[in-house]
Amino acid sequence: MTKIIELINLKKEYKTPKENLEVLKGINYSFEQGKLYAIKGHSGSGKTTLVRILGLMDDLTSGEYLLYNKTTKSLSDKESSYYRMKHIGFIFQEYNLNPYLKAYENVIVPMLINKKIKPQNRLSKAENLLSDVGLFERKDHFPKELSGGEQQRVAIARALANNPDIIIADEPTGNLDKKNEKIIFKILKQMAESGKCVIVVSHSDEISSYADVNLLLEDGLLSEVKK
Amino acid sequence: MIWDILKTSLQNINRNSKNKILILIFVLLFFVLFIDIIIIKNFYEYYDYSINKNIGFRTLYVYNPTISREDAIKEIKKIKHVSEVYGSSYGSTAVSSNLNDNGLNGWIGLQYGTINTTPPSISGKNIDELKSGELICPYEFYPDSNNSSPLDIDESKFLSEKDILNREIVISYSRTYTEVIDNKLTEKKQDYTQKMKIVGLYDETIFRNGINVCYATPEDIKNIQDSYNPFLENTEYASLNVVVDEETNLKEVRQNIQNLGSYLVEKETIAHIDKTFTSILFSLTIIFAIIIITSILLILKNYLNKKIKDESSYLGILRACGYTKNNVIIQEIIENTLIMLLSYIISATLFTIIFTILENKIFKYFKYIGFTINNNIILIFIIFIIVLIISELLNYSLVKKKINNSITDLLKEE
Repeated sequence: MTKIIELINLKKEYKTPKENLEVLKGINYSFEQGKLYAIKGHSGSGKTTLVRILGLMDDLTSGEYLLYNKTTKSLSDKESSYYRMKHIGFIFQEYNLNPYLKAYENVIVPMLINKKIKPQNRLSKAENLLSDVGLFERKDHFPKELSGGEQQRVAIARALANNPDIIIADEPTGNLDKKNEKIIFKILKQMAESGKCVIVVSHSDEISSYADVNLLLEDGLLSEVKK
Repeated sequence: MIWDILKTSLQNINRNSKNKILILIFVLLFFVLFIDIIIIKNFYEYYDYSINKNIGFRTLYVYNPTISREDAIKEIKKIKHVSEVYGSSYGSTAVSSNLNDNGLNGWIGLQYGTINTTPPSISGKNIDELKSGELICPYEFYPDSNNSSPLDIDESKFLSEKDILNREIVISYSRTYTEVIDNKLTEKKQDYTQKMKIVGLYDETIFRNGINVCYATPEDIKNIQDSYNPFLENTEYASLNVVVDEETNLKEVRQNIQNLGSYLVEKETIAHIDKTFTSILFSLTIIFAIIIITSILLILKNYLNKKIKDESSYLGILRACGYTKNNVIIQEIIENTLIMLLSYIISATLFTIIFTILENKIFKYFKYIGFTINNNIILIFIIFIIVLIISELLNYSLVKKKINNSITDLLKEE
């Protein structure tokens, strides 16, 4: 399996008025394509911090984060935006869909800045992605007309809009019931099987059964947990 | 990409009822603003054209019984800011003409015309080329001043350039006087006629003259007036009209004439009343315009503040999807521009339609009493562009401030 992400002694500190809070204390780990990684840890352990660093949404304090063997240090806004557009798809607990856009239009939003996707191909691509998450019939619906689970599936389709290699999901089922949770995890699993590197942060125990690798973030360090 | 953002923004505006309400509010505010701007413009033009250009508003009436007219003219002409001095009786006169072939009674006013008192011609000869026996008349000519209301004017009877330029007319006037015949006072009448040619046309609407006022040479006016009253030349001592170069110099000139001694100068000209009235209204309309523009910007600021706050997490999503800060700023600016532009287009169209209706029904007749109300689409557009630029700067600063937060912070705000 190809190594996509490599973390070398990655540290993250937050400066507070009283002290420097070290959340990540030197993580060494590599993420490969075609695998679903489940990251667990108690609240405040730094899971969200870690995935946001992985998603180039936050800076690391020290160490190295290599994406396709290239350093991500000192990237400009334009460069990091380009990496996110090309390589990374995000799924959050909140779906954050544009309420005034239909399901397929929400999926198209990330494609608008991708010059490689021709305007005439956007609609069919969005329809295919919605079809993949089982929402083709609901493509013309506005978010308020969709259930929570359906909205999250639209958000997943949106995350896949630019065909990223890495999918980062931060508590994607936090607002969903068990039934919808299973549907979402299944879709994430299918993504990994299709060759993507899927990293999921979740409190749910259910994820362990879908994950190829279970990880535990504890005391600022990341370690694999055997099933 | 801009086209795509434009399309998405249009969808956002169309589907968001808040945006529609905002557009409706802006349409109303812009509409009121445009009315106000047109009032300001017309007041300004009235002031500029009527008071500064039409000499009637900056002419002082001066009288001195102790000095001859010629001496007084020489003396006053030396005063700074005095551009013309002539005998009061020779300022204007009225004659009938044979321009009545389309049913008008043919009375026209003749005005003392020199380079300092006459507007430039828009067709034909200018005043400096005017010879005795020639006239410069209004471009839209209606040789009758006896209408009780401008709304009674029959526009189909207007004479235009092709009807009057280079046309010879016969003006006629008569003198009525009394003679003692056989120890009885007997009223007698003497008729005069004179051929004249219309050689130039001026824009009467800009100059705020009546629509039947032509300019003639001072000699012609004098001859006509002297014919009316043969004793005028001898009896009119130093009763003079003093034309001042600018209305603002009236006070100084009046003082300087009084300093010469023995001169009686009228206390106020019509310009003073007009100036005060116009200045007050002008100031009020400007204040009103500022209030409206401020209202538009305050409403917009509140709206944008709320919108940006509400959309914070969505902006975070856009950033997470790969939108650069500039992409997001452009998107917000395009959306705001569209809202402003739509409001402008609707209100400007509405305004123009209503103005055109009023213009055809009422306003166009106002010019016949010396007050023209003109629309100015370019001025309205310029005002809109100024408001748009200020609003976009405001929008830019608000979005920039928000988008400079980290994506994590944007996503945290729900």
